[in-house]
Amino acid sequence: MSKEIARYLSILLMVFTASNYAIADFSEKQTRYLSYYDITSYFKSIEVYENDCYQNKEGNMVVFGYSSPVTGKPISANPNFDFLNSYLSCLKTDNFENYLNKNIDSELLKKLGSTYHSVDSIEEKVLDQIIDELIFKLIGPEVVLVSYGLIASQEELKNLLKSSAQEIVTNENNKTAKNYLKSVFTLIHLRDEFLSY
Amino acid sequence: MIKYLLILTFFSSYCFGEMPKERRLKKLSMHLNGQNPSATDYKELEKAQDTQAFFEAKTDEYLSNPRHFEKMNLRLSQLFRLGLAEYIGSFNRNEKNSLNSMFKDISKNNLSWNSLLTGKKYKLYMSSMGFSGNDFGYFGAVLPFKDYPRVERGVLNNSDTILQTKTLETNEEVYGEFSRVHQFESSDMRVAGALTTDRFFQRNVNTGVNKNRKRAASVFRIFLCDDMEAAITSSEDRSDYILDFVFPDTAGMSSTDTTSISLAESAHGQSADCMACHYKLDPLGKTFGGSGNSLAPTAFSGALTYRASNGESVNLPVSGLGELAANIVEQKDYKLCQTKQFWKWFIGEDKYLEEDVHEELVENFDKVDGRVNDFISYMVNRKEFYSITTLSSEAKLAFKVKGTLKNCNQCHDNEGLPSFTKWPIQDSKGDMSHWVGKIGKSLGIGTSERTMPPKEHIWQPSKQDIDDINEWIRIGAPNEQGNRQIP
Repeated sequence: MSKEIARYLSILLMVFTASNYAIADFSEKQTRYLSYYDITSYFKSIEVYENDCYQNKEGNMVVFGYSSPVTGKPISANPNFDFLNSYLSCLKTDNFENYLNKNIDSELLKKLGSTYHSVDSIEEKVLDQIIDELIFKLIGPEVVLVSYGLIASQEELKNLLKSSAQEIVTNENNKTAKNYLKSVFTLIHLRDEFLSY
Repeated sequence: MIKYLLILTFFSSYCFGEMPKERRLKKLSMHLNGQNPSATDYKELEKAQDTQAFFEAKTDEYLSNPRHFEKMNLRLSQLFRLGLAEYIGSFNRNEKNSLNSMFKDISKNNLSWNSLLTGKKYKLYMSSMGFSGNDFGYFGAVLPFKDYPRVERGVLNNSDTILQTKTLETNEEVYGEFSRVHQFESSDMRVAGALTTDRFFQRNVNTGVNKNRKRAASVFRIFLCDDMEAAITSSEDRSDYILDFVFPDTAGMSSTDTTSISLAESAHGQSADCMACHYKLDPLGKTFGGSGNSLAPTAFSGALTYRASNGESVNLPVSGLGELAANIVEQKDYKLCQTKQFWKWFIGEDKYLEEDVHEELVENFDKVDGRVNDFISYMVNRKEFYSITTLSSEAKLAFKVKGTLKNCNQCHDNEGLPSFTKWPIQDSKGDMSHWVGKIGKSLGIGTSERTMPPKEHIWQPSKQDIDDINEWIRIGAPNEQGNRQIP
């Protein structure tokens, strides 16, 4: 198991994907996971799509739910560990701040992009706004979030994201704002509310 | 604890009714464009006075987005079971070919779904592979000479030339890029939409043994939802007579041996197990006659022969693929099959499609003349699209059991027995009871020995399949709505 997967599986409670709590699968159900096309075009749209991920295109098609040409059914019904491995390797988050609202304060943006500024140097209120914005962009308004039935409110998700991100940056001994928000960004991408519709 | 009860309450409140309109918007956007709605979309929804009108307008907007064309391309690629290996060298064979181009065009131009079969217009691509493995090579015997890209040395004829040459007329790079649209006459019986494309032929390779049956099987699967299982033996010593017929050992054969094989093939064609499929595959396969890797210069006659879902036998002689396609789109089973496919794509296969609703879908499919975007618009504005329902355990079991019993129909369908998956079997609870008892007994439920399917048949139910059927019978053979069908 890669270090990266281990890192996120350590907070498996957050991650419904690849757990028994998964609410969808890759087949054509009422609630289903993003298709191969959805995932790859999403990566391209947020400009975090890397060449090494693209090179493994056929392997990714299999783990991202493309149907087997023999059976006509997805090769793996649910996202599994191989999915997480490929997904996380494609989801490069180094420049995640480009994804934030363009009218964000330039000084703050500099801090978020820097590898020196500690997360503690940023006001909690500002962090909250950024996380709210990420949740809105990746999942939708609160009413959408709670309609999945996996969490009761946006506030609760935000707190969960913050405590998990804090745990990650502490374990990695890298408490920069950039690393903290990168973790939040990745964690939202692992939620079923992001991955399914 | 309170927190989880709260979550459960939220979840239950949305489980059996309409989803919040914002979630509906997200679902619509994801289904049609594969991306989340924008902040503006959400704002517009909030301000909208007439929610239904908003959704209809938004549907039109999403349907005109190129992302929708790509999504339909992916859906159709999966329906046609196009392979994973997209690239040959650096040439993307799932992008630049007449079939995938047709898949995108159908949604881009809101064409009739039937044009997948009856279309006569092709966008032909030239690849770096020379004339083999591309549309120009495929249509080689039927295209007029003037339609070929010409280069300094005349018509392109080998891959070296292609790699280095631009066309004389337009100075376009030929390598992987050159394309030309060709419209065949509507009366041309040689061509039939997606069926006569290089990509379809390459995907369903023909051999001396299969005699275009693989292509015929794909037509039945894609357009009539008839997914056939090969009735080839699974015996390990490979001594079974059917296996010998199908895969004769040809090493060092004399002419006498060849004759025997030919006779064996005929016997294969008459064996009851094999005939369950061959009676329909062979006549349809003949319409692909004369076509190896490229399209035959003349139309070949054959027939559309099958047993329709209403039990009637269909046998329509045709003069070529064009006429075959025209006949298929007129079949009720074709319409039932295609609308079911749309149901699966846009509503979900875990949502039971009731018979009267299915009839309604067919009616609306006809009403919009099969125009794909119009029909999708109709589907995504149906209540089932924006409702969430959960299946009871009985209903889930019914879905599973039906999937298993479908395998039995493969052979028994041809023996005059009623369909085991059309419930209640023979349209009455009494008959259902009789047939369920027979099925259980044949599968060894409550008896010591299983007699069906025959041991040499390729499909064998797993222990789980048998356990599921056992449980299903025990709880009254419920249907997909969870209702008992036997006392």
